[in-house]
Order: sequence, then C-alpha cells, then structure tokens
Amino acid sequence: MNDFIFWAGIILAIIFLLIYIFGERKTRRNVRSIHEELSKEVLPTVSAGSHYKDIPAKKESVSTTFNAFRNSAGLRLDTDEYNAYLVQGNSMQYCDIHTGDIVFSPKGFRVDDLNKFPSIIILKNNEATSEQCQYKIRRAWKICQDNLSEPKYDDILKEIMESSEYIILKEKARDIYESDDEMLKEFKRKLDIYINERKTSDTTENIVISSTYNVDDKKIKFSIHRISSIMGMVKYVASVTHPQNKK
Amino acid sequence: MADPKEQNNRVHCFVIPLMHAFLWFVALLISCYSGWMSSIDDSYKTICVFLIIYGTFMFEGGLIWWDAMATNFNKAVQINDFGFIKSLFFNMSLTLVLVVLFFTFKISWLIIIIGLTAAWLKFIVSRINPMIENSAITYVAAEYEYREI
Repeated sequence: MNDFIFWAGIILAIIFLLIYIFGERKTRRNVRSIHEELSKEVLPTVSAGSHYKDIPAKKESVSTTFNAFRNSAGLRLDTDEYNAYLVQGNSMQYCDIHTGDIVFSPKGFRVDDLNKFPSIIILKNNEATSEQCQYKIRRAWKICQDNLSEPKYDDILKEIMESSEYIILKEKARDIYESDDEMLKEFKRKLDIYINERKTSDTTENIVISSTYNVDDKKIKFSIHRISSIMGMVKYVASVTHPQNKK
Repeated sequence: MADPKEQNNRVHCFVIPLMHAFLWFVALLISCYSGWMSSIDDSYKTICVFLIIYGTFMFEGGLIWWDAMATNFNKAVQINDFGFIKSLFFNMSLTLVLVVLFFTFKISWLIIIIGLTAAWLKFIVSRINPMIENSAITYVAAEYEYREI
C-alpha cells in the first residue's frame, strides 16, 4: 500500500509538472499572439486627396491604445483624449503629413476652438457613402462669412498670401506652385460654384478657406467648405509607417 | 485555430483551479507516504513533510503566475520591480541552509525557523496578485514618435 501511494504520488507529480510546463508555454504563446492582435487597430480613414471613393471608411493601422506615442521630449500622448484618423493620400505632403500617418484631433472639438491659422482640419465628406472615406483633411487659412462681396474675398486672399506661413508653403512647393494669380483664379472658380450652390439653399453660414495639394494636377489649390462640415482640428501627427519613428 | 483569448479564459476558469486541486492532492499523497514510512526517523519525516509543503507553495506561486499571464494579457506585469525574484531566491537559499543545519546538528528549534521561511514563501507568492493589480500597466506593443502641428 505504501509503495502504491509513493509511486502514485510520483507519477501524479510528473503529470502535474508536464501539464504545468506545456500549459504555461501554451499560455505564453497565446499572450504573444494576443499582443500582436492588440498592436493593431481599425481606424477611421481621412482622405488627403480627391480619391475618397477608392478609400474604405475604416482601415487597419497600429493601435492607438496599445502603442505608446511619445514626442521628442519623451512625453506620452494620452490617446484617450483624441480622435485618431488614418491619413490616406499625399495631398498634405507640404505639411509633412503623408499616407499612413495617424493624425490626432482633440475630442469635444467646437469651431470656436479654431482660433489659430493656418490649422489642419478634418472635414466631413457629405458626398461619401457609408463604405467610403468619411473625412477629408485640409489646411485651413481663414474663416469668413459666405455673403461677402468679391473685393472683400480678394482682400482676404491677399491677407492669406502675405502671411509668413503661406510664404513658407510657396517656398516648400516652389517646383509646383504656379502663381498667386492662378491661385486667385482657381479660388474664384470655386467661389462661383459655392455661390451657385448657396442660391438653392435658404441658410447662410460661415465658410472656411482651405488649401490642398492636388496630386493628380500637381497643383496647390484653394477650396471652400461650410464650417458645419468641420469635424476637428489636427493637433498631433505620428508617422507610424516610417521605421525611424518606431522607437 | 482556437481563439487565444478564449483559451486563456478556459485556463483561468477551469485549468488553474483543477491544477490547484491536483497539486494539493499530490502533495498530501506524498506527505502521507512519508508519514507512514517506518524505516526513517521522525526528524526526517518532519523535514520531508516540510519540504513537500514548501514545494507545494512554490508551485502554487507558479500557478498564480500562470493565471496572471492568462488573465492580464492586456497588461505589462512589472513584477521584478518589487524585488520579487530576489526575495524568492533569498528565501530558497535560507531554507536550504537551515535544512542542511537541521540535518547536521538536529537542533529541534530550527524547525520553527524553517517553518517561518515556508510562511514567508507563502507570503511572497500571495503578493503576486496584489502586485499585478497595483503595478500592471497597459501593455505597450511599440513606441512611435509624434509631433505637434
């Protein structure tokens, strides 16, 4: 009886050890695969360009919860306080925002918060279907009323073009930048379209004058949007596709 | 392929409790054998039972750690920050020295100190869960640099 208990104990102890070793290793592998899964996240896309129809509304990128975003001083970004969008397209390349980058816009944004120009803004794309990219990213230069006279708009455009940030943009984009006159002409064309659209609408509201680089035409152009379409203001950008930015 | 989260949940809900029960059954079985053996003297039996209990506490620590891995997969467990491994090894070394002393000199009151080392070990392994709850930070897969616009 004693021997039976002894050998039963030893055999059971060996079985325990084997279950422990294999079970622990299996759990460790599971944890690794869960960590791989956690490192990814499906983010809403934001179109940087005119091809929003080809961009899905959401796309997989790196997780904003299980990856740490730190600035050059090592300060970690509290991603819970921001809406994250995945940039698709290269129309913001002159602002150093490229396809695959993640942009962070503070939660609880109100248009009144937009008090510094130029700012990078997120606009709702009202033309997109639910499967297509829902947002556009633009560089906002000015908010103004939509019922101004044409000379007033000229003054606003002149003011924008004389700003130091615009001069920096022109310098950066000197290879493709046509001329101020061309920019003005393009703006007026867009303004006419906007005014024609407004005629059919009873409501008036403020507009935001923004600029973007058209990748197809290889031209920087102004555009006009209603301020009600502004969804957020980009405060931070993380270039997650650039290996040198992964610490 | 089975969902790893589901598998880990199964480990937490069924495998670990079963393993605890299994561990104590095996420990009791072997201690019973050592108690029934007539060929060895009582001091050896005592130390044998002590070592079985000590080893059981050790494996219990392993099971708690395994359970922590299975349940806290979205956390990075910083267990070494609390000198856990150091105190574990110090406890093991001290116990070994005391057991050798007990075998060599047969000093009866040493058994109390040896018992205290086992109690200390139990204290160390019981702190694993509170340490994980207090110290675990959200798991970080990678770090990326961001800049202000």
